[in-house]
Amino acid sequence: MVGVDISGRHAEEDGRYNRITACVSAEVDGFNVFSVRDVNVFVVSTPEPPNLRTLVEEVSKALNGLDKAEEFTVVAEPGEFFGEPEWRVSALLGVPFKYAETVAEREVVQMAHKLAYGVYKGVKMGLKVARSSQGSPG
Amino acid sequence: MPDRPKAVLVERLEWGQESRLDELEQLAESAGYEVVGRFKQLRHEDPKYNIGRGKVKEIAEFVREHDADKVIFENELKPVQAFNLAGEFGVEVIDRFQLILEIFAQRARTKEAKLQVKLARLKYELPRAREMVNLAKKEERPGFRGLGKYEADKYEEMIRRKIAKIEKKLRQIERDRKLKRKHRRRLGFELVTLAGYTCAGKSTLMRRLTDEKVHVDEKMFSTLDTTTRVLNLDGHKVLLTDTVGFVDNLPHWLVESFKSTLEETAQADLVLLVVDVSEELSEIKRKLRVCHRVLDEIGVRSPVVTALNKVDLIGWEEAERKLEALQGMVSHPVIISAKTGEGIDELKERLRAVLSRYWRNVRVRLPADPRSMSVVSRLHDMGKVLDERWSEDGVELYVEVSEKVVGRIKGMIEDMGEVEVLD
Repeated sequence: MVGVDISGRHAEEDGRYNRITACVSAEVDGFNVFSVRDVNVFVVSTPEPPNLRTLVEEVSKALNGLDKAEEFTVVAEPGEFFGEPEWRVSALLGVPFKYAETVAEREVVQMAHKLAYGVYKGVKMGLKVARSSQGSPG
Repeated sequence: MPDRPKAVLVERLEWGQESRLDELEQLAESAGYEVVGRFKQLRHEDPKYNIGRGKVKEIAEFVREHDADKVIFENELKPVQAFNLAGEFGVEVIDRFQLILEIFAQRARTKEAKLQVKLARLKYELPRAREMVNLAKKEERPGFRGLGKYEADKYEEMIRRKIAKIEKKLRQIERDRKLKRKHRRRLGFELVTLAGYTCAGKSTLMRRLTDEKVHVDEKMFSTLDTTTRVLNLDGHKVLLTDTVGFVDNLPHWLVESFKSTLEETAQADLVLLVVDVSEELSEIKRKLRVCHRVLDEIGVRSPVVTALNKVDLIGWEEAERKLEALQGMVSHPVIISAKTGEGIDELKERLRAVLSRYWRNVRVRLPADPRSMSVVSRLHDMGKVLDERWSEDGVELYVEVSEKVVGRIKGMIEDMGEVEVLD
């Protein structure tokens, strides 16, 4: 599975939106995370607030940087895609998608959240993201 | 046998929502009601009645015709809705949460369980107190009697005071329980807790595993108080605890009220999750999702072994097919029947294998001394003696024990002999 989290959905002081999409690819069963295969982040800064279309695009770009991402189900917390049904998000992403429902899935999404938030804080402090799919400055 | 009170069940569904009326009926029957009617409506919530006015009339007529004693809603009702509906139906109207509280109140035996039920009831009432008192002052209605004499502020304050008092008592019980747990761990026992959706067969499995008589009932929530028994896993004694079952749509305040009981699950060295595999796959998945949510909420991070129970009802082929479909939702799955005993040996072996991460192999050498006899006897109690060799010089033992007691063994032997941890 691949856990996804998006940080920075709210406007910054300068009115821009600095979003970080983090993906964590992991091997799990219902309750255990056995290993993390790969991680990737996608950073983007836009003058407009995000909508479903932009979020899906950004998640797709973050997934592109992962090894064999297309083979796994993408999992996110309910609410990440404005409460849209799973089938719709799945159709837009072009890969199987579901909202987290097991302990292990929640844990991987939580890892993605920590990664996204950490990068968000770093970017805010002026750090440059070296190994990521860097988006356009908007 | 006295006549059971008659209940009418009502559910309002939003578009695309799955019905939970079957489970509500099971709950109502567990609470001792005879279900005489079921009503469903697909619509948005009506602020006055929750359901539509036409449906209210239809149900009111049904209630009169069948002489029903109570109307039970699957949906959460606002006090004003319960008040208006009670006026139309002429009988008390409750929702799913109040029904669960009724069941809990019937089942609670220990002081702790009784306090938890009281706390849950008060937490349910608190946000509704002001509105309920104001409504009760308007007119007498079933379910609102006696509240009119209070002032809204004072009634709310009274509930707050009661909550604080009960929480204080529960904290003390929790402290005692923590001490007991610590003591059991010091003795070298690993703690295993049974968890799962209500009616999955946890108590039957407990009885099967421990050969003890634990109360088993077909009704939902037959276990509300925790029961702990010794389980012998091929020479290793572990403590097995049976706890309250989970149910869908359990509100946060109810989970919080049973925190000290659920804490038992959170603190376990292993959780034995029991799943009824005889049900439809979609139903198994729904119940498993609930278990995952509750276990995550209470912070379970111990290994989980999943017992897919009731194979006797569907056969091995179907159970294996279902297990294949459940792969992403379970850990260490074993197919069993707690009723017939099928798969129980394999389950014990799996429990042993998973728990072995906490066990260490220790070599103990003791001299030929009368004091050694009592140490050997205690080592037999503390773990599994794999080998015991006596000679003229004394005794050499290979013991598999919990890592928690290695320090105690070292202290017990002191200068008498040698202790070596092998792995």
